Amino acid sequence: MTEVGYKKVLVAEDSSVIQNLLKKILLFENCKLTSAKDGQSVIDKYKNEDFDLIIMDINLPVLDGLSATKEIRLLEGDKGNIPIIGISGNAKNLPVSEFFEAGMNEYVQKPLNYDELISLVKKYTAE
Amino acid sequence: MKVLVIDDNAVNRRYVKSVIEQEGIEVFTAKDGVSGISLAAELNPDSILVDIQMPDMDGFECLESLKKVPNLNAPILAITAYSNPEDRDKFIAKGFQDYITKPVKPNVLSSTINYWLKNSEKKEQQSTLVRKQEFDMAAKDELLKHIDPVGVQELYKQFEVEINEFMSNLQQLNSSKNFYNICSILHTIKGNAGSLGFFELSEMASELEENTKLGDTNNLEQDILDLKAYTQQLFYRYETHFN
Repeated sequence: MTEVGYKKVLVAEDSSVIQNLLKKILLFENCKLTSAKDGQSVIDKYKNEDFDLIIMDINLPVLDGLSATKEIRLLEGDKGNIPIIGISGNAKNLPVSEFFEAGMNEYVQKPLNYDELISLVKKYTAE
Repeated sequence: MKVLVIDDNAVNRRYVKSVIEQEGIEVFTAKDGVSGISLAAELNPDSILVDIQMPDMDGFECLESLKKVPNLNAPILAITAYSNPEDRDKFIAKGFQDYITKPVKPNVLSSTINYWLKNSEKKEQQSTLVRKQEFDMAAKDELLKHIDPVGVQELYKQFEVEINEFMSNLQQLNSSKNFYNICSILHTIKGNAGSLGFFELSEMASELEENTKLGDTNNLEQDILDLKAYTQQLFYRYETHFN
C-alpha cells in the first residue's frame, strides 16, 4: 500500500522490552516498525503518516489503547479502516468483547504467542 | 466447531445463530436452561453462549449446572443487557469466560466467539518453536566441551530456578524503589543468560539495566512483569523443545 518491499507497522507499546521483542520478530516478516509509547502519540503519528497495520497495547499511558482505537475509527475514509491488532496482559480482566467493541480487528493475550502474532500480521498485510 | 446458544427469545436465537454460522461454525440452540444443559452434555460443544435473563432458570443457574457436566471444558460466555463495571466483575467471578452486551453487534459477536474458540484450542498446543536468537545451541555445545551432559543439564535447571527468584526480587525491590540493587540483578541476568546462549533475554536485561541507570524508571514495574512473562514462556519453549 504505502511502500514497495516492506510493510509499515505502528506499534503502540509502553514497555521497551516488548517493543524490542516485536521489532526482532517482525523484522523477518518484512515489516518496518515505528514505535509510540502512549495512546496520544499513536494517534498523532498515525495522522501524519500512513501505515499498513497498528499493533496496540491496551494498557497505555496518557490515553489507553481502547480509547485510541475508538478515536482512530472515527477518522474519515481509509484512515479509519486500518487493521488494529490489540495486545495486552489484560491485568484488569476486561471482557475480550470490549476490545472488539472498541474497533480492534484481533486480540492476542500476553505472554505473546509469536506464531499467532506473526500469522495475524501476515493476514492483515497481505496484498 | 460447534457452538451452543441458550436463549429464551426466538428472535435473539435466530439472530445469534445466523451471525455465528456465517463464520462456518455449526450452531445449536436451546430455548431454556434445562434443554440447554442436556444438549450440552450430548453435543460437547466448543463454546456455549448463555442469555442471562431467562424465566425459570436464569443464566447464572444455568452456568452452575453446565459446570457440572462431565468432560465439558468449553468456554461459557454470557449475553446480557447489563453492562456496568460491577456486573462485569460479577460475571467473571461467577465463572463466565467473557460476556457480550446487548444490543449484540455482529462483528463483536463473531470476533469474540472466534477468539475463544481459538483460545481453548491453543491451551493444548502452545508454540514449542525456539528461535535461534532466543536460544543458541552453539553456547550449549561450548559448555558440553568442558562439562558433562548431566552437569550442563543441572546448570540450565539452576539458571531457571535462579531467574524465577530474581524476578520476584526485582518486583520487591521495585516497590521499595531500590534501583541500585535492581541494576545489579539485571546485570547478573544479562551475564548469565548470555553465557548460556539466551541472547535475547540477555539483551532485554541489559537494556532495562541501562534505562534504570539513567533514571528512566516510570515503566519499570511493567517492564519487570513483561520480562517475567517472557522468561516463563522462554523456559516453557526451551523445555518442550529439548526435553
